Parts: sequence; structure tokens; C-alpha cells
Amino acid sequence: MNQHRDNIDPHEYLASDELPGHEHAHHVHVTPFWTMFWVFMILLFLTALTVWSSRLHYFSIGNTLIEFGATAHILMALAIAAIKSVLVAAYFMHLKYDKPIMTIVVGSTIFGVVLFLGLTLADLDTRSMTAKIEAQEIYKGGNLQLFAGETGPERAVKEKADMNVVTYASENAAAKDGNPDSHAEDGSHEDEPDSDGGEEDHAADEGGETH
Amino acid sequence: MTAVDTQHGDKRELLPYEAYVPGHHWRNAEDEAEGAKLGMWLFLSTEVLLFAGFFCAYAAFRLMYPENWHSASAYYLNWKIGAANTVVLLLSSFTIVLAIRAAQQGRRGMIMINLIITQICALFFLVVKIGWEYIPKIEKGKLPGAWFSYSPHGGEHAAVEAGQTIMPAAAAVAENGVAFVPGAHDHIFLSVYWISTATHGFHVFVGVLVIFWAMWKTAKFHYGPNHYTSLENIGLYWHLVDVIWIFLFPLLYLV
Repeated sequence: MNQHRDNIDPHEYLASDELPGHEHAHHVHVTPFWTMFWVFMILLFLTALTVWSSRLHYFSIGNTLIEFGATAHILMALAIAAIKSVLVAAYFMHLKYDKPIMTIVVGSTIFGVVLFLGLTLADLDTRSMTAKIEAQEIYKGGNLQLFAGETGPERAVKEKADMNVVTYASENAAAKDGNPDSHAEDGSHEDEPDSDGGEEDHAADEGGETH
Repeated sequence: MTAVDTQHGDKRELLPYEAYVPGHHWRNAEDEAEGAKLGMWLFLSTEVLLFAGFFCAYAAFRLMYPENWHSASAYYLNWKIGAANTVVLLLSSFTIVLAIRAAQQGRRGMIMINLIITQICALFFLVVKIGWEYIPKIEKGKLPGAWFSYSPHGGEHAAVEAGQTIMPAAAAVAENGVAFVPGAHDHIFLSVYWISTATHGFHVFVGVLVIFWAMWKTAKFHYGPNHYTSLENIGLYWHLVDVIWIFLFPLLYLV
């Protein structure tokens, strides 16, 4: 093995720790005992804290009563768990003393987890907001704020260009009831990509008129 | 392995860790250890993403069925068991750090003692998990999804049968001194509980196996100041198992 080593290693990289003055070529970081011990103690304390905080439902400062609901409890528990994980990763898992590449790997993983959970929650936690759109109380894009400064027929044209599928559907229903002029005037939404369904209906209606 | 011990100037049997030579494609042992550790971190990343799926399921189901989640957790799970297991896992994480420290110092006896303590903790975790949680739950029919039973003795009511939830009407069950009315979605809480803790428990079991392997390597003099790569990577794996439990414990048992 040593002969093999000499052949492939003319600059003696492999044997560098045997050269004079190079005794400490391996910078092995010997894990400090007391640091690790106190990290362990802090972890135990935080475990006790997370149990205690989960049973704390209210407290008062002076006359002000502060209550903790489910969300507050979840957030407190997650915050404490995050602190504990950082301590474990930095000290027990040695990230604090290792090369930055390890921390970059961990960081990108956490980024992935945040994306994963964040996008799921952003979807699920906002679904109730679409109830008003489905009930046609509000329109996609905001039909009030967008054209606040404008009045008259110009505003009507722009509003129409900004209509969503829901309003097209009702418009088409109105057209079928016998209001053909509701779609007669504007070509402005012909180049609007998300109005395809509406356009097809218009085309079908126009085809019907030629008979 | 016989070689010349240059330090002592005489011929003797070198211990395996003393005679250890890194793979010929590595510049030195330090680079080899760094490479192995980076690979281990990449593996741990995939593990984190695996468990992120379970946390996602937790978040989604809790958002969909928030009404009974906390009381179901308080009724079906005993937080004291979870807390005891948390302490035990933290202790085992600490002792495996000490085992690596002992390897860096070349104190073989200390490596062994610390690995044995770690192993006792890991086995304690599994025994508590299976003996005090899983077996009573199986006996009472508190199983995930369609196998869940509202009856305290199990077996009589399947929770979901042909898409319909069957549960005793307004049955206030008082067990363990906790007044509790079963909810329509208790089986979903237990599904999340079972899938996440069972996957975690399987990781603990794998940890037990690899710690046994590390003990065997310690007994055979494979770990010393110049070579303890696999011990360090087992430590990283074990800490990850600990970190996952750090999140599972409060989310499932407390809040």
C-alpha cells in the first residue's frame, strides 16, 4: 500500500502529516465536553418549556387578560422546536465547526421544506376567500379599485375587458335570454388570453345569427 | 495488518484504525471524511423532505378538521410518555456526541460506554413506543383510517364503511379521567399519528441496528483519532432522528 502511495503521490500530500512541522495537518476539532453538556441542559429546559407553554391558556398583565388559542400554541411549540433543532444541528451535528458547504446543504433543504409547507398552507388557508367570488360578490381583478378614476362608456369597456369567467357566464346566460347587444360592441377582449371560453360562446352565438 | 510503526520505531501489529489508509482517490483521510459527511448530509436532506410530507399532511388535515384535533390528541395520546421519550432521545444524542469525542481522543472504552448508553436509550424509546402506545392502541382499535374503531374495546365499529362514518351517537366517553366526545374525524388524527410516528420509529429501529454495528467496530478497534468517519455519520443520522422527534412530540402530543 505504501509503495502505491509513493507512486501516486509524488508531492507527499498523503504523508504530509509525517513531515517535520506538519504534525497538526489534520485539524480535527475535538468536541468540547462542557459546551455539549450545556447544550444538552438547554435542550432539556426547552423541552420542559414546550410542555409548560402548551398548558398555558391565559395569563394577565395588570388588568389585561391574554389568552392563547390553538394557533398561538402551535406557533409557540414550533418556535421552541426550531430553537432546539438549531442547537442540535449547530452543536451536536457539528455544523458550527464544519465547512460551510454542509450548512448550505441544510439551508437548501430547509428552503425546500418551507416551499413545500408554505405553498400548501397558502392554498388551503385561503380557500375560504374564494367563497365571495363564487357567490359573485366580488370579481376577479377587483372591479371597484381598478377604474376608480374613470367614468362613462370608457370605463364600461375597460370593465368588460377585465371581466372574469363568472361574469362572462352570467353575460352569456343573459344573451341566451334575449339580449344580443350585450356582446356586440367591443373587440377589446379578443386578445385576452383567459377569455377563451367566452369567445367560443360568442362565436357560437354569431353562427346562430347567420341562419 | 502488519506494518512499520514509525512512531515507536519497532515492528508490531498495527490496530485497524492506526493502519487505516484512505481510498486511493482521496488526497488524505480528512478529505475522505469530509466527502463521506457531505454525502451523509445529502441523504439526511432526503429524509427531511420525506418527513416534510407528513408535516404537510398534519397541517392540511388540521386545517380541514380543526374542531376536535386538540382534544383528540389529549384523549388518545399521553403527553407524559411523549415527554419521557423526548428526554431519552435527547440524552442519547448527547451520549453519541460523547462517543465521537472519545474516538477523537482515542479512548476506546469511553466510545463503548457511550454507545451502550445510546443503545439503551434507543431501545427504551422503542419499548415505550410499542409497549405503552402501539399495543394498547391496537387492542382498543385506535388504528388509522378505515381500521379505526369508536368502541373502547375495538372491533365493533369500523369508522368508515362504504364512505359513511359510523360512530356512537353523542357518546361521551370518560377514560383516563378525561371527558371526551369522539369526533367524526378522530381516525384522521390517528392516521397522521400512526404514519408519522411509525416511520420515525422505523428510523429509530434502523438507528439501533447501525449503533450495534458501531459497537462491533469499536470492539474490533476500528475507531481512533485518525478514523471515525462511520461513527460520525451514524451520529448525524441519530441526531436527525432526534430533531424529527423534537417536532413530532409537541405537534402530536401537546398542541
